[in-house]
Amino acid sequence: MKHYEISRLQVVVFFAIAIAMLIVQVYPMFWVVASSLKDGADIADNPPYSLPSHIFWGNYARALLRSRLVQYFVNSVVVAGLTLVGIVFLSAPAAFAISKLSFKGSERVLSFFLLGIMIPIFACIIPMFMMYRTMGLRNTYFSLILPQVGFGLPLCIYLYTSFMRFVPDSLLEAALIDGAGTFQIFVRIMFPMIRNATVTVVIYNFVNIWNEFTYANTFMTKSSMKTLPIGLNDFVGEMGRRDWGATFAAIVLAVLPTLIVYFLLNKKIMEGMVAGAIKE
Amino acid sequence: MRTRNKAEPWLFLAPALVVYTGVAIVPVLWSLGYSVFDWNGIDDMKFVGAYNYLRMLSDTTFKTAVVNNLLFMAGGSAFQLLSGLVMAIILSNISRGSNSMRVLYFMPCIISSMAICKIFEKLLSVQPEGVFVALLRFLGINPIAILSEPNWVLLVVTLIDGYKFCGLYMVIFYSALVALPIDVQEAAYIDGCSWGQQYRYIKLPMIKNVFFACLVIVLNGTLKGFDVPYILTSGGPGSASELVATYMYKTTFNSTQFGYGGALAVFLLLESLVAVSVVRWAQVRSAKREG
Amino acid sequence: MRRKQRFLVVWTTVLVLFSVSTVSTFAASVKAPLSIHYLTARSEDEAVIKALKDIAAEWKKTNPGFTFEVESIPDRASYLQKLKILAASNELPEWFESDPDTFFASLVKKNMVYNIEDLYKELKVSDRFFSISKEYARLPESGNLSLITWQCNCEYFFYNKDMFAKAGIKSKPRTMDELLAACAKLKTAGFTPIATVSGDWPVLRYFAMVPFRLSGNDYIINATQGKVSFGNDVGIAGAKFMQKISQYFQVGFSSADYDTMVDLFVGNHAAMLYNGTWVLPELVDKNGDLKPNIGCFTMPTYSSHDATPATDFFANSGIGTAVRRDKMTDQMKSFLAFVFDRYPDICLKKYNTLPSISPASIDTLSPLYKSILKDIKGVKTYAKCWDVVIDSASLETLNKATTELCLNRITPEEWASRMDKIVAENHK
Repeated sequence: MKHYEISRLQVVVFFAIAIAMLIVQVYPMFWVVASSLKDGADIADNPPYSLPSHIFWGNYARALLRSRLVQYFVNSVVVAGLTLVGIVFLSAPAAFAISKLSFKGSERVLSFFLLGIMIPIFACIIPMFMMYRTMGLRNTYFSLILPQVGFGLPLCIYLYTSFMRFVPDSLLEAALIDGAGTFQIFVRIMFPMIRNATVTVVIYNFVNIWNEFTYANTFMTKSSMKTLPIGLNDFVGEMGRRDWGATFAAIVLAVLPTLIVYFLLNKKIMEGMVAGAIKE
Repeated sequence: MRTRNKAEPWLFLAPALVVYTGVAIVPVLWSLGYSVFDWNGIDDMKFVGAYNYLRMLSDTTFKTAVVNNLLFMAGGSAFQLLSGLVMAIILSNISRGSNSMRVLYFMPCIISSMAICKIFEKLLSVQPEGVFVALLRFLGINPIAILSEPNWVLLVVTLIDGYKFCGLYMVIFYSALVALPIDVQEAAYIDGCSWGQQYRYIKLPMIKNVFFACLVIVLNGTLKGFDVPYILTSGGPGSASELVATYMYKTTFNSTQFGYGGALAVFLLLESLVAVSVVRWAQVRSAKREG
Repeated sequence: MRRKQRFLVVWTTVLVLFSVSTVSTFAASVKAPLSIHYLTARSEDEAVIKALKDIAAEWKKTNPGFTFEVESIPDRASYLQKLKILAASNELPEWFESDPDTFFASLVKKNMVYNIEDLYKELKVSDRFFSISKEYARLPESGNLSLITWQCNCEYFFYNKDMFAKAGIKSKPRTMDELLAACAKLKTAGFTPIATVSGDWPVLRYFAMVPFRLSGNDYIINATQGKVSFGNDVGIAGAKFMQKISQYFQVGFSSADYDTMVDLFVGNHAAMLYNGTWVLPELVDKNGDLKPNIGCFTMPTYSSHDATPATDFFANSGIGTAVRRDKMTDQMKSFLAFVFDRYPDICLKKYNTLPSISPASIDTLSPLYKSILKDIKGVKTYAKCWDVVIDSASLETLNKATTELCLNRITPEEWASRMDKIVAENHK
């Protein structure tokens, strides 16, 4: 292992920046957790940045009882999971074809896909609404999965092609000479080698799908089909009066499981990628 | 790589093409068609030809929005890529606790936009006093309601929007840095490279492709930026933080002018097209230089 | 011969099938139970929704097969987005909610909703509604009434008695000048005089006050239709008042939201809050009276020769419910008759909210609510809310320009010229 010579000062500066950024990234979440534990009097009387004077679980009780948070969570998970599967299974092969399989018009196909990155969603809402109504997809998970897969494909194909350029052609040619079929090459050689790209694609899309609001608001009419971002609005009362305590509690409840899952998966994925790099 | 038969590439492409065309291209063409009409969703559609486009040229709010958007794009991209890169470099140099730190650095990405906006609204408010104002007071500066200052609000919105997404670029850069082949790094070390030099001459150039990909994502994202400006300030005060996407949304849904909204969407599309083309041209040029 | 026979058989079968299907469809449509999908902008916790759900459950007992499905989108911006998408795709549900704004006016023009005034006459319930419940829901230009209203709200200045006493204010302000003087005293005493929000209706109310006193609703109705300039005497007087009073708004009012505004007052950080009776649940004690520290006064007058007396002010009946014209069957009408019958008592006695229909008896009301009802009945001309009268395309400019006027970034004349320009563009 390498040990670079770094001065004391550089170490101090390095850690100072690291910790400062950590505080900045974490403070808002910390603030939400602290606020969710305050009761009404605390919120009204003390400044917002103060710590709760005593721990109050009432907000969590209200968040869980007043709305169907668990149901919304399940909906969000199902939509996110199926969309991610759809995106990876559709974009990886397409990117493979564009970047590695030589055929006429590959550049044009890539450009065709890239057009999609630039489409603003709101412009298409009404036609999509009418299309899904005709197809009978309203109030189904598919009405959320389809558009997010469709609009997510361009960027993911682009990302995959960028990463796929790193894979040496010689490797693929050798497998071809050995008699492997194209599909086998893709599954056995290409896909494992672009684990980085898959991680990137999954994480980028996960963040967007998890926060997605417009489609869920438009295409779902049943309360039981709401996703988390819509569910957070459940705590709005008359004239727009929000129950902030319950909303904060709901936010914490929504973020925590995601954070835990990400923590667990993260370790495994990164270990795999580092191992892959060493092997080379 | 040559394939067995000519149809094979298209088999790989087919599912993606079909879904993409049906789900994205068809609706967008349909709604772009609206841009030559004057329609409020209920009355009959009135054909107006290029009127909506001409209207854009004399619309002061639109012009302000475009300028704001370009500033937002430039500032936001720089901020997000830079902070993502810095965090990635920090993480790749820490051995213990790097997993936990990675998760913590990524946290803002998982919090919904609505939550982030409300959190910052409370942190930045003067009455009741948020932590930011308390800090200012501690440093002896007079507190200002920064979200109500037309000269500052765009900067604040850019930073908050960047804050939300920088964790994403951290993950991308980190996974790229960590996967760099070790033999090159070892060779550089043996050759007497210093810590700073290894980044400047070895690691960063090696992730150039990834960098360009991130540039495309961030430019595109900031040109279409909507969530944070809309929820936090609704484009205000006045039009100080109005972006093209927020203006388009308001035109389509608040003012129910689907025709004009469609024209704005066309503009947004063309803007993105130009930006992405520039990046790709730069990418191709730099690849050519490497030979 | 065989061919002819086959021909006859085929045609007879067709005829029989046809008539059977017609009869069965007819029978089905007559027997099909009533099903209502209610798209509401209210939260499911609100008194109105709870009362309607209770009534629907009662109706279901004698009408099995009846379904009443409530789709609640409490966030107003998301609600409006959904409503407009539904309208544009011709997918409006049986019941939906709207204010009497220009968007709704276009729905009415296209005959998409049932005329509620006719409904009231058919069911003979016109007299039982408070007059504000009918007047507020009328479209400003045509006077058409196509919205059922469920509430009765009026607006007051709520104030903090403690702060007023400490600032040396002896009596409730009766004129605009007294109001401004009171604000100045509060500011000198170190208090935040007014909590409000710009970019939305609260600040527009302040703006509307002086013009309403000077000209009733004429100014705003005519100006938004382009018949008079926004910058005439009435308008400039209003704008100048705004410049004066906005100095007393809390710092950061242009980036606050509704919650912050109410919280500031309820948490004793601001001295005055202009709001409606829907906020009373937060301001009253167990007996239904204002908390000891809180008082209220009505909208002040401007001068001694106002067009509208002190007893006229802002009252509204909340967002109204429209019924799709093609879904107004006889079954629907009988259900509505049942609703109008049961609603006032359930709303008032079970959920402590003032209904839009006058209840059987008001004896159980607290003195506060009794005086509110008295105030409401005393109003001859209801002040119209600007954000509802102006068309939605110009509302955006109105909000922006008003914010800039309050922040002293533009002059009253500039404000007026911007408004004239945008209304001329949109009111073709």
